Amino acid sequence: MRIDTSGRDPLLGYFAWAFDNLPEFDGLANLLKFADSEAIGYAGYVRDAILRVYFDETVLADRSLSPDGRRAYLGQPPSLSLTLARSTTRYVDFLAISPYDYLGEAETQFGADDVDANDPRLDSTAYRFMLVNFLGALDGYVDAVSWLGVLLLRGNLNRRLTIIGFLVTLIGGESDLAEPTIPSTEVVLEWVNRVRLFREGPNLAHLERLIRAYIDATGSVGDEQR
Amino acid sequence: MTGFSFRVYRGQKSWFGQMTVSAPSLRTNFGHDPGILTEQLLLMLGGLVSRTRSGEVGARGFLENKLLYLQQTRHESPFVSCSHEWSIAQSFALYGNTPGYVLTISGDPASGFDFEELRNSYSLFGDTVSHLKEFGVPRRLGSPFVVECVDLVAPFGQPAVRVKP
Repeated sequence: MRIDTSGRDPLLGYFAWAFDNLPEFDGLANLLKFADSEAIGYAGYVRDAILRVYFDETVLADRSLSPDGRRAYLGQPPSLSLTLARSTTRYVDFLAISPYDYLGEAETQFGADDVDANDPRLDSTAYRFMLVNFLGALDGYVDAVSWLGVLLLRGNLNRRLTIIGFLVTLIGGESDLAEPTIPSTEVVLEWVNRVRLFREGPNLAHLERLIRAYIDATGSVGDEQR
Repeated sequence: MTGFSFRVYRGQKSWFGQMTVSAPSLRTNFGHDPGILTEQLLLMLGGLVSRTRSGEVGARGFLENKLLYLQQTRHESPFVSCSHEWSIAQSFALYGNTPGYVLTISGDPASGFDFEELRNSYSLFGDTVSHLKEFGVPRRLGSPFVVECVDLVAPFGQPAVRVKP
């Protein structure tokens, strides 16, 4: 990450983790080194960029519009930089139905991504998808919370630990993670159910505050950082 | 016995006497030789750690990202994942409410990769994966690391049974 998050707001850690690890934000993050958090506009730029990536990654492919089954880009084709940055498949391209449908089928979907024989690309796209949905959830999108629920349901043990940790920080509640153990099947299913029923959006919106905190922290690191 | 008092623990679902426990990167086909890929990953991580030790801020950021990535993805870690805590290993062994094995491993701490020590030393963001107190044995379980004993653990409060030695 480009900033030191120790001793700061825990949500800033998740924001910086996602923002600094998604290649689409590389240029913007470099620009923010020279930005002033109070200046009008910077937070808006970052928010717009996040919004674009979030929708680009989470909209399910409309297979009916495209003969080869790939996503049909409405309006304009993807830019060359985006195509290069995303030479792998999106996580949602492995899926066919909405997050709510997956969350309603917890028994059959449990641990579906965590199979040895799975394509390793599924693993790395799921990681990227988790980061995108951290940003989406921090911007108040209830769907992002639902997608995190899908990853929680289908993912590996460490990813479950992280997603539960994030959800506890974001929406509160008992984590059952006070003991240093990985979450049990019961805890995971309980959280999946909580996410399925989760409908409150406005109290999630932390993004603008976090962008400002990020810009302030970037300025304090110094020019030697990349 | 290895003569080292350093111990870490690993939970897994199966165990037999001559079992080779190898890192995920050695078990995954990325279209390259898994052995070469694993060596490259180890070389890169070693470089990041030494550059971070020398005070390079950029390397610290890369190392922070890489540790998070290695702990989040199933296929790319060049380490056999262990924990400093018995309870963590036990929870992996018991996952799904079925019995499993906890391996007690002794060896040279300097030959492994201590995620938690690195995080503490350089104030790296660890999220909840810090709870795992992970210690990575590079490539596969073998010298200078030795499996000292193996316990079969079972859910619902049943007592553990020593299966090795």
